[in-house]
Formats: sequence, C-alpha cells, structure tokens
Amino acid sequence: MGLAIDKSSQAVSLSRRSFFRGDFGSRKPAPIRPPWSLDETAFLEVCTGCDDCRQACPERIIIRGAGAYPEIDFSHGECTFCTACAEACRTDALSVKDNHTLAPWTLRARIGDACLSTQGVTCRVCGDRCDARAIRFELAVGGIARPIIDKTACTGCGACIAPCPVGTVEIVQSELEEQP
Amino acid sequence: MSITRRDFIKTQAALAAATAAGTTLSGTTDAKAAIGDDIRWDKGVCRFCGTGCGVLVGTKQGRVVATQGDPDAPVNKGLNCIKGYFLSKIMYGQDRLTMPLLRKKNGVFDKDGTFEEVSWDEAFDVMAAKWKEALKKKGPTSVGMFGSGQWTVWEGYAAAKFMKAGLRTNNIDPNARHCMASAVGAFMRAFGIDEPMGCYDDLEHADAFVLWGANMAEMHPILWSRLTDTRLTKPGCEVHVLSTFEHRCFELADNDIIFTPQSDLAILNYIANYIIENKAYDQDFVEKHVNFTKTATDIGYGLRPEHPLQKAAKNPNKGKLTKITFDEYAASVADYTLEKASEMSGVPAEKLERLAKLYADPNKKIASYWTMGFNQHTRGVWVNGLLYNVHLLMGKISEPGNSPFSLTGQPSACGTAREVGTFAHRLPADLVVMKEPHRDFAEKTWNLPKGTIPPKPGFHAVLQHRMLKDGKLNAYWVQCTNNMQAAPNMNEEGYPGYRNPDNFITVSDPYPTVTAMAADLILPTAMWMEKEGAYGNAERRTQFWRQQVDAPGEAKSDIWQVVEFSKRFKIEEVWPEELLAQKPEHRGKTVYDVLFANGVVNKFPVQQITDNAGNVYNNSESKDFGFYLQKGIFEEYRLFNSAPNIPKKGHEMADFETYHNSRGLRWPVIGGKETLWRFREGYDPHVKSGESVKFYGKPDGRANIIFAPFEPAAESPDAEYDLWLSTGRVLEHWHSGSMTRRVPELYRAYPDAKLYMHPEDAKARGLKRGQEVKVQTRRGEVATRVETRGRNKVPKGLVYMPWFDAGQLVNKLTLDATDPLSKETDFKKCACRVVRA
Repeated sequence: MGLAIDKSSQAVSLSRRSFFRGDFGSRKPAPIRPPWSLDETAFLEVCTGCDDCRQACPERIIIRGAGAYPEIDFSHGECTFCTACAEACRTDALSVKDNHTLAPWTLRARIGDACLSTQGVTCRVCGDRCDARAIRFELAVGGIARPIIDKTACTGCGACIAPCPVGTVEIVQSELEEQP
Repeated sequence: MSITRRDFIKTQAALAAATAAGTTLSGTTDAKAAIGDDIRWDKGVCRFCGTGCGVLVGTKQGRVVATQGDPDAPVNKGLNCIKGYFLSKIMYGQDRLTMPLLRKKNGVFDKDGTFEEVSWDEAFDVMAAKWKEALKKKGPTSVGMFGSGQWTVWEGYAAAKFMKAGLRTNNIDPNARHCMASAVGAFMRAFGIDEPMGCYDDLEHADAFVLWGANMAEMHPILWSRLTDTRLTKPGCEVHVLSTFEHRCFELADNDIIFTPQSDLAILNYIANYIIENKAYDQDFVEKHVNFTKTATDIGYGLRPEHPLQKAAKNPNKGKLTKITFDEYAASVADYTLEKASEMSGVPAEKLERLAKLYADPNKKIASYWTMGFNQHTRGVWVNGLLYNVHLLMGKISEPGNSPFSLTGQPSACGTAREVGTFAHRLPADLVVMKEPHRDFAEKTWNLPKGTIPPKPGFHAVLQHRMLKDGKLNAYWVQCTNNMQAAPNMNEEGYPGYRNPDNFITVSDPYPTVTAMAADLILPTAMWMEKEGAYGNAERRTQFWRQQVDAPGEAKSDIWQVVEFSKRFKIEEVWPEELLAQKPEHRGKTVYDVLFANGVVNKFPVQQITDNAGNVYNNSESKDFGFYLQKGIFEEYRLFNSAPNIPKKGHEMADFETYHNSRGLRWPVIGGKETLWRFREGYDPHVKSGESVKFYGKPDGRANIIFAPFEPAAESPDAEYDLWLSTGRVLEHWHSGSMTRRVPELYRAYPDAKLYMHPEDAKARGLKRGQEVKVQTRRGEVATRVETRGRNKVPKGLVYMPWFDAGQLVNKLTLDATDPLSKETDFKKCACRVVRA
C-alpha cells in the first residue's frame, strides 16, 4: 500500500470553493436560521426575536444569535424536522402552514479537507450518525474507506457535525456548493 | 503533483499535533507554522488492540503532544485508526490519579471509609500488613493478583515471578483469560505450542478470507484495511463473513452468513464432512502430519459446582483426548450433513455449501480469522479446534496465505499474558506449573529451592471472583485492567467479592475506574509512554518503546509497584523452613533480594538511553532501583526462551538492545532472523531439511485433529427471557473506555452505549428508536436506549450491547458460564428481555 497522496486536486478545489463561497478566511459565515425560514433579508424584517422558536425546539439546537435573531447551532445536536419551531412562530418568519411540503432548507453537509479518512485514519463517525444514509463510506484501495455524500439524500439535519472528531464537517447552503 | 513521502509524514505529523492541541488545521503551511519543528519524534507502539500498530510519538516540553501512524512500521505502514490517532490524549484526562488513595475513617484504614490521599509508604504498609495477615492465617492460596494483556512484557514477568516464586501462589491470572484462553487451549491441544503459525503477511498472500466471529472492520481496523486492499486488487479474491449479526465487515462480504448462536460447531463439522465426502482432503498431508482424536463430551459450563447445569454434566471440565482412526473421525462428522447444518444454523444451504467448497478447493489459499466470537464461547476450545480440523484436513496451514489465525484483542495478550506465564497454570515460555520438569527448570533458572513453585494451578479469572465472594481469597491486587466492569455477572460475583469485609482489594490504575472505586486501596499508575515498555502482538512480533515522558505526581509503573512491594516481605515470612534449608544463602533476605537483586535481573547498570538521533530518554525505574530493571528482566526471561538448555524450543528471542533498534521481530528469532511461518521447512529454522512440515510442539511432530460435537449454549432464550444478548466493543472505544472515554473527541464520537435491536423486535415491544429501555436477565438489569439502525444490524431474536460504558454496566447482565476447558467466559450468549424503562 503506497502512501504517496496527490493533494493537488484538493488544493485547487479548496481555493475555488472558498472563492465561490466568498469565504476569504476572515469573515464569519452567515448564520443558519431555523428550518422553513424566509430568505435572509425577509427573515430579518419579519422576525421579532421573540424567542418562541428557541423555546419550542425539543432538540435545543436553536440559540439566540446576533441581534437576538434565532440561529441553529449544530454543536448541540441535530434537527429532526419536527416543525415545533415553525408552529411556534407567530410572525411567519418560519412557517409550515401553507408550504409544508417544501423543503425546510437547502442546507447540505460538506466534509472538509481535515477529514481523517483522507489521511490514513479509520474513522466513520459521520457516516454512522447519518440516518438518511447520505454519508456513505466506500471501501478503497489503500485501505481506508472514503466518505461520499449523496447530496440528494442529505437533509442538512446536522447530525454529522458535532461528533466529527476533528470538526471538519460543516453545513452549507447547497446552492453555494460547487457543482461536481 | 504528488508530494514526497517525507513531506507527507511531516504534514501528517503537524496535523496530528494540531488536532491534539485542540486546533484544526487544513493545509501544510498552516500546520507547520502553528506547531513548529521542535517536536521530538520516536517510534512507539499503540496502547490499544492486539494488531500492534507502530506509532510515532511526538513529545514537546515533557508532554506527548501528537501521535501518528508510523510509515516504517510493517504492521500498519503509516495507517491508524481513530483511537490510535488520539493516543496522545489518553494520558491527560482531568481525573488522572497522582497519589495513592486509601479508604479511611478517623485516620486509619476502614473498609467502609472514604478515599483519602496517602503516601506510598503508608499505602504499602497497610497493604503488606493485610497480605501478611492472609498468608499467616490461610496460606498462599488466600492471596492473589489479576493482571493484564496490557501489561508490558517485563511487568507481567515480574508479577508472575513475585506471585509464583516469591509468595508461592499460582493465584495470578490475566484479563486475557476473558479474551484469549480458548485460543490458547486449542493451540496447546492441536499443536502443543501456543500462538499462530502464520503472520499478517497472509493478508496479502491469501486468495480468500473467512471471518468467524471477528468484526475486524471495527476491532482490527488496520488489518481490515490490508484485507480490503487485497480483496479489491486481487482477481478472484473472496471474503466470507460469519457472525450472529450483521456488522461492518459485511460490506465486503461475497458470502454473508448470519447463523444462530452456538451453531458454528455444526457448520464447522459440516465443512469437514463435505471435505471428506468429496475426497477433497490432502491425503499425503493427513497421513504424514496429523493424528485423529476425539474429545470428552457433555463437559458442563464452568459454573459453580452446585449449579444444576454443572450437576447434570456427565464429564464436567474434562478435556481428555482419545485417539481414533480416520474412518471413525469421518463417521463422527458424517452426522453433520448440509441439511442438518442449515437447519441448526438457520443459514441457507447454498451459502454453507459455497463456504465448504471454498475450503475444499485445493487451488485457493485461505486465511481464516477469528476473535471473541470463537473464544468467548462455552465450547471455545472445541470451536477453535474444529477450524484447525478443516485447515489440517486440507493441509492449508503454515505457509503463505494458508493461515488459520487467532486475532488477539489486547496489545500484549500474546507477548505478556501468554508468553511470560501470567496465567494461573503457566510459567514463562509455554511451561506449566503442573509439570515437575517445568517447575524444576524455572526454580533452577531463578536460583530457588526445589518445591518453591506450587504444582496446582491457581484461581483463574472467574474463580477469583467466586473465591473473593466466598472469603477464600482475601488479599487481592488488580493491575492494568478494569475487571469489575469487564468480568461477567458483576452483581452476583464481582461486586460482592470486592466488598466482602474479609477482603483487602488493591487496584492500580491511572484513572478512578469502576474497579478502582470498588477497591480499598488505589495505587496511581504510570501508563504507556510514561515508562519503557514492550508488547507482543498477535503475529508473534515483539516491539519495544522508550520512556517518552515522566508520569504525573507520584504515579508509578506497574513494574515499579510490584518490585518495590516485594521489598516488604522477608523471605522467612513467605517460605517454610524446608525451602530455606535448601538455600541457606537466602536467609535474612527480602523477596526483592531473592527475586530481583539476584545478580541476573540487577546485572545491567543504569545506562543513558538514546535513540539514533542522539535524543536522551529518561528511565524512572533505573533511577529508583539503581539498575536497568527492564533489561535485566528481559534478559532473565530469555533464559527461558533462548538459552541452550530450555525444555521447550520455538520461542527464541533476540537480545534486549536489538528490539530497541527495530520495528519489532517475530519469534522464533534465530541468528537475528525472525520467523514468518512456523512448522514448515524453508520458513521455520526448527524444521530440518527433508521434514517438510513438523508440528514440533508435539512429541511425534503431528498436529491433532480433534472431533467435538455440537452442544448447546449454557443459557438460551425462553418464554421468560426471549432474546439472545451478545456483548462486545465499538471502534471508537478501547475495552472499558477508561482511556478513550477521557478523550473528548472519542467520547463525542460514541458517547454512550446503546442496545442494537431489530426494528420488528422493537415494534413488537412497542419501542421506538432512541427510547429508554431496561435490559433484564436473571442476574440484573441495565437501563439503555434502543438503536434500530446504525452500524450493526442484528437479526430478530438477538440484541447487541457494547460494554465500554461505565454508566451502563452490561456485565451486570452476563452469565459467568465459561468454557470448562479454557475457563473463558461466554460474553456472547445469554438470555435477556427488553422492556420499557
């Protein structure tokens, strides 16, 4: 089993990805709003920061963010899409009333470059937590199974975020994801 | 652009260090800038499983800050599992013990008191008084020790010598009894010498792999990586996976076999039957190298003698072998037809036949692997033997790729627990206490009077807990293992034994484990890289490491504790006059003087320890004792395995310094050369030219094929307790979790144990995934949560629960039924029920 690893393709895609995300290293990423939220501009107009959604969340993953607006913090757990937050919302900043069939959000998981599985370490923690089976590990020559994310299956629930031992799984807006 | 190997290593090292330091870096330049170049790297060995991965250990300012897979280690070639990746953090849990702790009330020892910090002097004073009191009242059988396959080679050797020669008791047993004893029993019965004939190179040489009760993907992930690599790159390679439930290895299975617990006995006899019926066996090999035998049957379940199952057994604990002819053997296995095996196992006939055909194919080289599925089995020695039968019938053994291979669970189950004689019946290098010539040799080598070592085996692991409960074992010392959590039937045996007011329990551990908290005295222990060490892995590879850092506070290594404690005993206090009269020169000395300051162990002066780069390393024991203790012990041990006059050849080892300068060597090491495949001419120097194959552990050079039938498990599901309960491990945690659960990343990765259950079984009980439940057996109950998905997919009628979680002590549930021959517990089979919490 050889250990020479070609990192050049990763390096290119990393910078391209960062470029498209507008992430130049210093800026904080945009906060993640609760599921079924209006788009960011409309959300900030409608949401009163009343805290009802946060208190309704049984998973306690909604926190008070900047300006008292609610944000999702996946380090506390995952979204089960139970709709409690949206049902609690009095201003329809988040709402499932009319459009329940619509996707709660367009978030998807992304595995970063620090992933242990790409560095000769057997770790499959994120895949084990993925109930949607969107993160699969493909057995590979060289011995360590590699993670593959099925973006159509991923619900952006965030279950894979907290347990990652090196903190390299993140949740991003899927429209900002680079096309394969 | 591909980066060079050197760059790769450097980047990995920096990333590993960054992770350990709590930061996450993604690129080469970031990592280097953040860590700098001032880390000292040295070769080491992983602290966890029996694979024996080489790791590079990075130290900075007296602290291990990073580890990484060693690219030069032949075992893992730079790869690592997630536990190995976080090794650098196992020594730095917040509740690390740094002072001895004694239960006290009003300033004195009290069994019902609370733990208070005491000095080593006070700790050993109280402990020695208790041990001497027990010895005086009831003699050597009232003291005992429980050790570990995680002890270093010299720690196990020193402890065994102290107990067997010093205190004259064979009441020492390792936790490897829970793990490898059945494998040992089968090696001795079939080959007359312990440990596998093959090696990890078979992972590349084999054409097909069969897993029998081994979840390598989680428990031996690096070996699984090598196996996967072969499966994906070698044309025609197949993998057959047998288990009582579906696990990660099934992802690679070409033939997936889920069988009813215990029916592996029937499946293996069917395969032998298939080979014979189709005349596929290697007649020449069988005629020249094999004896046919059968074993005594109806042997009970290793339970207390008054247990109804023990009383019902015709031949309890009997392992007698009777010679039979080939035809008699063929007639015995003839009962195990395909139909019968399929019916008993619940496995579709075509899957069993495919497996039998694979073994019977003369052109396929087959490596068979097993771990606890075989060993933790009330017929563990039998089932190990039944697999050897298949390999021996085909002559598929002792050559590259043809390899029945017992994987070990612990880093030095082989090197320490088995090789230096820490079992209740063993002495160093495969010698046993029952044989007078073996005792004579040991006594002569150790310069002891004849008759020092008692001839009767001591209390084995499960028996120790029973004897503690019964008040027959009163002074007890546990080192390097968390046996309260690990041993079966904690409610009825382990806990009442420890808390029996007649007993004084000492536990040595780096952390306040379940076992430590049940003790009367806790001794703080230096661990892993805080001492110079040696482990022996599953492929007979002996590997050394240097002490990288000093232990915190007053923590001391296990070997320091044993050797220092031996100073507390005058030889007159532990030996009778008739022994002293034989060796009057020992009069007035301490046990320490006789065993360790004996001119052999203390032969090597303190030396400066350096690596090839000139870095200087500490050796705390050298400093404290004034001689190079580890080297002295190892060289004395070599008098048992490498001196010209030894009773059992085949375990030869190189000298001490050679190992410090290598990535390990596989014994027998003769003329500086290691042995990859044993018993075959051209590979094993003990087999002479023209002998082709010689199983030299047996006097006639022939291995035993041993017929053993199917016999049922000790406890099976019934109307009241309707599910099989199987217990085991997970990738992220090592054994009882005392180290890995203190690493935040590993804790987060798999925080709590859970109960894997079939969705329909859950539904039938009105249970939802994640719901709190109680698992109940006749011995106790444990609260947990139901998991109906995830990495293990159990069949209907069986539940699986890991035992790493100190908050969910699954061994309150298990039954202390053992293999009557190996005395190893069956942790895989008992009956339980699951109800809403």
